[in-house]
Amino acid sequence: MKGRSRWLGLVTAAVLLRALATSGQTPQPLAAQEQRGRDIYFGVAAGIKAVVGLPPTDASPTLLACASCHGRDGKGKAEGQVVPSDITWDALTKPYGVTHTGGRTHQPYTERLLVRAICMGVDPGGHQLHTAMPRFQMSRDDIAALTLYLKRLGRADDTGLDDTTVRIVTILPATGSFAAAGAAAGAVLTGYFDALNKQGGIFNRRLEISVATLDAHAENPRAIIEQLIADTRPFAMIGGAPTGAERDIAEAAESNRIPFVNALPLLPTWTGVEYQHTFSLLSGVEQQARALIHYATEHGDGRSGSMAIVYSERIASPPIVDAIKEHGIRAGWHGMKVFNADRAGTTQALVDELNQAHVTHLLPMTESPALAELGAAIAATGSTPVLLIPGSVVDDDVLQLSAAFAGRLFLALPSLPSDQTPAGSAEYRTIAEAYRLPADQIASQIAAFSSAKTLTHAFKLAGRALSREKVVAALESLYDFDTGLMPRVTFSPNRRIGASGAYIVAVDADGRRFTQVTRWIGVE
Amino acid sequence: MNAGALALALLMIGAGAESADAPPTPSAVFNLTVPDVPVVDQNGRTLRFYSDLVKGRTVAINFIFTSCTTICPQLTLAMRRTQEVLGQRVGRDVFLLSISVDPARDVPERLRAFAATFGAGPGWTFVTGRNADIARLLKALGNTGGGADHTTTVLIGNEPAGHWMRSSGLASVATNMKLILAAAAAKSPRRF
Repeated sequence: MKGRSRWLGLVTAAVLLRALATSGQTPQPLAAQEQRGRDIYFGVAAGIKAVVGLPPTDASPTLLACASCHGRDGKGKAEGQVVPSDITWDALTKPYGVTHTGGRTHQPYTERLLVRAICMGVDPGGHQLHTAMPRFQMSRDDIAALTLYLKRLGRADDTGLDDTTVRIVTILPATGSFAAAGAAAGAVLTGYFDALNKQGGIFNRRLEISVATLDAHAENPRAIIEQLIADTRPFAMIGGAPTGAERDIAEAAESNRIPFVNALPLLPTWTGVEYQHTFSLLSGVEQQARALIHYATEHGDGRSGSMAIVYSERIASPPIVDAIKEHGIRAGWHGMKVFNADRAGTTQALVDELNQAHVTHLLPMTESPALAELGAAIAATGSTPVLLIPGSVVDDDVLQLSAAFAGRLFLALPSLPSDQTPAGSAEYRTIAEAYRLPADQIASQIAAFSSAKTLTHAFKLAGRALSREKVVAALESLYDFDTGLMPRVTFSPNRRIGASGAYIVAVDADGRRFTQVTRWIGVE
Repeated sequence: MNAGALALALLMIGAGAESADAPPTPSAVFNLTVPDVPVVDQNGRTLRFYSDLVKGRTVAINFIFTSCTTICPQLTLAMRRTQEVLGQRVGRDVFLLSISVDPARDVPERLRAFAATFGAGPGWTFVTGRNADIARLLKALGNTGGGADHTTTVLIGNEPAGHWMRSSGLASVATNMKLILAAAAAKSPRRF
């Protein structure tokens, strides 16, 4: 099968990058005091105390962040009959005073009166604020920083959206083994959105794509990503090539409530909804493992054998491994055994345990080099169980095992080149020719292209009155959405993996050719 | 009364008063039929809402969803405070229930994480379930809005006594505690 290295590049990329060494510097924020105020507003600053309720109860300020009720824009969002006030500076300091829903009125706030409201829960008229408004204790410096931030709140374009423009940011690798993949993904996204804008954009809004890069050696990627979001204020984010910091991006997207569409799922793998705002088009290790169990159950000596899972917590968390084990037992593999490679001691000790258990099928959810070493050590004892390997953990060293495990090495891949429809290929080629996209790095180009297509489709579904909430809801409503380049994508409120399943391929003896042995195996 | 005493009296009233936007006063006592729909708790166990969680018990029920950032933390903090004040009586004399109004998203794992964030102890059950079942349950319990339109209501009831009241989850803990203790002390109607 052609295109092997392209696809492996895609499926193994996330694993490889996480292993890269770390060094580098976090850029200094431009206005430190304002940034501190922003951190307090969003409940991520240390050293703040909050009490709420009657009688006042200590509570974590993260749970009671200003933004939780007053919104990212300070305008307040009503919920359950509670209407939080508009706390943008213009609204608080209207010269003729403030009238609230329900008729309560008072003179305009001053800085001093605002401090009193935040710390003592009293409005300028001396009335107690709503029970739901916490009282905060913080230092003078912090209250000054918060006040400074409140003064600019609502004036800044915080959401990356106005009547003429939607701002989208992609974060791509600038250095390391995926720099070329990053450059290719950036070129695809630039071309894709330019072509879309030439056709009039979406609901007459231009889609403005900012391509940001992340150093593979960045020491604190989360801080860099947060700063990038604060500086560029994206409405949505999109993935392309692996930066190795996908989890940091997902966490930052979550805390800033920014929809993030990416091709590859996060590791360690997760079931259900870990982050509301992150949508992955392709399956991860868990779905691939389930597809492999399905394949092993239906083919060969099947259930009469004894299957073992060897896992590392960097790839799959214990609850996920338990769920996969249960799945195997329900499929009829009564003697399922599970080994935690992180605690197994030496590779030889693990091999001895596997041999003692007479394992006929081995499902590893670990990463190289440990995975390749384990396979080689098993083969050295003369034992050759069937190897069932999730594509997301495969690299070239693992493929070398095919010599010892000829005809017994199977991979689960989240997508194959045969997923490309004529229409999907033609659409890609049009962009590729118009924008002279590179002829290589096809996997990351497809990842970026499919992510862009999915996100913009959700924009269209969300309608003219676009909001991030509507985009999340639109993504959740996708059912069998065809990007033309990947398996069809379905999301739901409980599902953030679009194409939940895999193809099984057999690897030939020289580790160079794959033979597809199943159709798409969908798993839940 | 001299001026000082008057000021002191006003101060004390002030301390006891609820805020400018006062939560609604508790409703009168009424009876309620609780549907026996299947629900799933934060540990993934399937239970019958009426038979397993309400029948024969005094309960305080609130309505939340885990992705809610505005009032749900406040409602849940108030419930935690109730749990603290009741101490050992929770799970014995009084049971606390939080029903997700967003069952599609609130899978048991999410409820478990939410419960842990707020320090929920034994005797406090979080429930989700199939959309249709939860919708039926919410309707029967008087929570007619959907998603973010859910009420801040706390439903306090003694099932055997047929003694049910509604209060606000944002009312003072002392107010709701009185209602819970009154419900727990309510006598079952005599049967002839």
